[in-house]
Amino acid sequence: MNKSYLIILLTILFTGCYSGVKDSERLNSERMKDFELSTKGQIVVDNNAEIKIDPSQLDLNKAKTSKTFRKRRYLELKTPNDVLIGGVSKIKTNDDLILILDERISKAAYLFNSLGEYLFTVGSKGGGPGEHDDPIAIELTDSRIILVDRQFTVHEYSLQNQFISKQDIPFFSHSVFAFSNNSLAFSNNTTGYEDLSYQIILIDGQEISLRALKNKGGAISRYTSQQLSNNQEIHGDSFLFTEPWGTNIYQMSSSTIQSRYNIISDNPIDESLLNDDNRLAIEQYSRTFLYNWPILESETLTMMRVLHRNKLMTVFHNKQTNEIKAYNGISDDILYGGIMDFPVYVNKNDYYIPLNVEQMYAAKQEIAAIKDEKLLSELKEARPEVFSLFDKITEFSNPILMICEIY
Amino acid sequence: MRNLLIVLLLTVTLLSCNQSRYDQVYSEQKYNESLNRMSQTDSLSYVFQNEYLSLDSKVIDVFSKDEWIIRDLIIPDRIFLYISDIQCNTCIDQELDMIKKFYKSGEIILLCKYQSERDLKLYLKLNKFEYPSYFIKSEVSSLMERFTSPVYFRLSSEAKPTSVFFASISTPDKSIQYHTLQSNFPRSN
Repeated sequence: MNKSYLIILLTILFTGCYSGVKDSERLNSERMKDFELSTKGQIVVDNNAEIKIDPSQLDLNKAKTSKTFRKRRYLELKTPNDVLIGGVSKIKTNDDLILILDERISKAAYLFNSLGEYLFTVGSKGGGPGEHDDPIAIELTDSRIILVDRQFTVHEYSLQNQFISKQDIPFFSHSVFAFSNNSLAFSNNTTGYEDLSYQIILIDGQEISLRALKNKGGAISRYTSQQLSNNQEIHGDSFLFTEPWGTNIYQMSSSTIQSRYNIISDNPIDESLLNDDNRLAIEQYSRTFLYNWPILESETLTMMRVLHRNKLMTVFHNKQTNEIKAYNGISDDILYGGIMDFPVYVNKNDYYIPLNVEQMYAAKQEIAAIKDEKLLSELKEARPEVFSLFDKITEFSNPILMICEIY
Repeated sequence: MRNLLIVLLLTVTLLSCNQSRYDQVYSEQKYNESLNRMSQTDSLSYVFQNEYLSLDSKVIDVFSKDEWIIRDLIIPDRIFLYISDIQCNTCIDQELDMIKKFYKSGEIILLCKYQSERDLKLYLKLNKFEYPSYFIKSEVSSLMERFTSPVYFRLSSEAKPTSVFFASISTPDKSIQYHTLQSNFPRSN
């Protein structure tokens, strides 16, 4: 009898100590509790039409703004006095509207018409219905505005700024794309959860309808926030994205993935590096891989950014001539340093570059101190564009967008 | 008799005031023990506390644009918060809100390292943050400028950091604990 008691006691102790579920599994289940996983199989990558680019064969030059950025026009973002925009982190447009995200300073999204006139600030800050906290990604469709919040939520608004819905998502994402059937694709920046360990995740209501490209290492998303980019006329219901730390550019629809470009690399970031944060942080610069920048494809050009053995290259592939040009920076000969970097967005053949108004304001101040009338008129004659923009620039003026074509 | 009562009353009042002052302010030992208990990044705090900031580094008042050096900013009992544009953005948001709740102007100074002065000015303006704030114009500490979380500290007259605390968005309760503890800091006078 005593023996039986002892066995029962030991069994209780043992089952009490061992829950039978690992921590990682428990956390995964917790994240996934409101979501169903589709039973669809893995999506297969088609790389039959892949274009190969060898960065070691490319000559590097500085892009001269007057030659590279043509048919320039400037769009001032006009807002009421109490609406201040710090910077332009992300842009989405359609024929009539421009949606801007200022991720870092004012932490809000703003809708403008195509003339740059302010329509509204999307939603408002807070935790209530229709309110969001800290938007980090935006999407604009013909009828909706979508904000992804840092707090693992997605908010939808009408084009009249009426709140439509709020949904939790089980991962952290820096970029979203809306398919025409209303399902959403996200780049995924969450690691450590088995069901979510994929680069792209599609959500349709409460169903995770598709997961694409398995993440290769624990460190993979720590430093990456790859963007999903779309130029409606060219990509239709699909988007472009880069494999984080990888060498491929993919185009993905709701059921297919095609590898569009492959960067030839004899020293890629391998899996062992992707599992070692410290080594990755140090060794990445000596490797060759696609650097984090949106892939911008127009009718004629595809723009990408490559880190190749300590050199950061902005690469343009001319699809008509098959010519490839690579730049390692910009020499701004028209706006006194107002153009600091390459475009962040493209729609049709229009590339969008947010100007550095702080730099232009500093130049304006310096020029205002010039007393020599002759010198001043020579400067005005040499760079008329920048002088016409000076009138619009104050210390806290909103960013100005340069819209141009690229040659 | 009445005089005796008045003397007695005054003595009691005086004693109780002293007692409450004694309750509010910790002894140095108790303060340090509490601080050590809540330290999140021990090794980093330890290394930073063994560093000397450069007393002659230039800083510029964000609002008035007046130029100063770090030495000018060191006043006993004053707390510094160092923020930069390589730090976690949401952690900075959280801490600026906390400062408004816990400190009076003059009790705390914001030291900032930002590539864009406009961005920082706009950020402070939009957050209605009106505490003394300075841009770092020359290197104050190569170690500090690599910190990816906002860091609080006090400075000794030789610019040696003490009362170091690294704030994080994931541990707001620790920040509250730190700020509460600072109100119990053993005063220098």
